[in-house]
Amino acid sequence: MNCSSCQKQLESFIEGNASGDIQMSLKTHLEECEECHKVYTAMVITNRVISQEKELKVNPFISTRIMEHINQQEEISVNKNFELSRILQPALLTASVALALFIGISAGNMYQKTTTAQNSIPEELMLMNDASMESLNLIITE
Amino acid sequence: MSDFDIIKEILNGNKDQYRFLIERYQDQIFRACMGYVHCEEDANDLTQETFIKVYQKLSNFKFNAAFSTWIYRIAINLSLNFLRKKKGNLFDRIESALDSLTSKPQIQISDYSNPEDILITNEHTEMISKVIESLSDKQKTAFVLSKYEELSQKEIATIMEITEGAVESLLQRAKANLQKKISHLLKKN
Ligand SMILES: [Zn+2]
Repeated sequence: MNCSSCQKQLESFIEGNASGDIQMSLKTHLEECEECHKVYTAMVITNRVISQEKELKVNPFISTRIMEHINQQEEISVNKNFELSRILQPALLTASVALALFIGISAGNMYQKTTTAQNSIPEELMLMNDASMESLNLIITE
Repeated sequence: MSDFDIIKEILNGNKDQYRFLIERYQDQIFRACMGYVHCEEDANDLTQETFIKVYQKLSNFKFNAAFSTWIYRIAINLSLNFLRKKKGNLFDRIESALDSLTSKPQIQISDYSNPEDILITNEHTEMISKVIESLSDKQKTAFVLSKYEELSQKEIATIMEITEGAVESLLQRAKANLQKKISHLLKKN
């Protein structure tokens, strides 16, 4: 067996999927060839490190932590909105009276304004592919 | 309850249902993040960040693709950004990659005739993490989704928005790079 066919079959050998004959000739080659043996060892070590990392478990409280964070964020934004409306309410009342007087004049322009608003896409949606799917941001090309 | 049903519930105001989505995907998202950052604490932080971002964007979810595809993409982008920030600019990245491959002391393995007996040390773990990190973003992503998540090439292709053939070639190149770099670092006494 030569080095390139040995290295091609190492993965199935390590996974225990190589047939008996191939296993034998791979073993013989690995005993004789230092280069292939290094590649073999590299693959074994890589697999072992990966399976060790895969055994680690996520923090068991993570869902609680995330839900707490989300609830806090929403409380903050609700409070902000409440504060804002408390301050703005008297102002809004005055403004709405003025607005009522103004509506007659500006009614003709309203239609145009609404259509413009619909045409402008919110900034966060523009960043997203299809406005629905997160696209992968793989900057470095091959 | 399906992912879509849960998402609809959340969007209808029943936000506590989000806990079920978290618990359904937390293990795989954590594992994928581990594949990128190789540090339990950072992977936990990235997992948390992923789920918070997903929640914030949930109203943009259009139900035309699997939720798992979407959440994987967000986790991958956050992990890659994390690595970029950690490593600084491109020049530093090249420097450190070269450093780790040339000037670092080589790992000594007195007898690796029987790899089952090789004791995996912290040095090994650090070496493997560095070498995986040195892969290009695309190779790394294909490798992590295949080796850590055990996803099929078809599933990886969907997440990465590339063809299955492209996934296969990324995986081949990733494995070849890893073998070359790691075996270079191994030295027989
Ligand atoms: Zn050989």
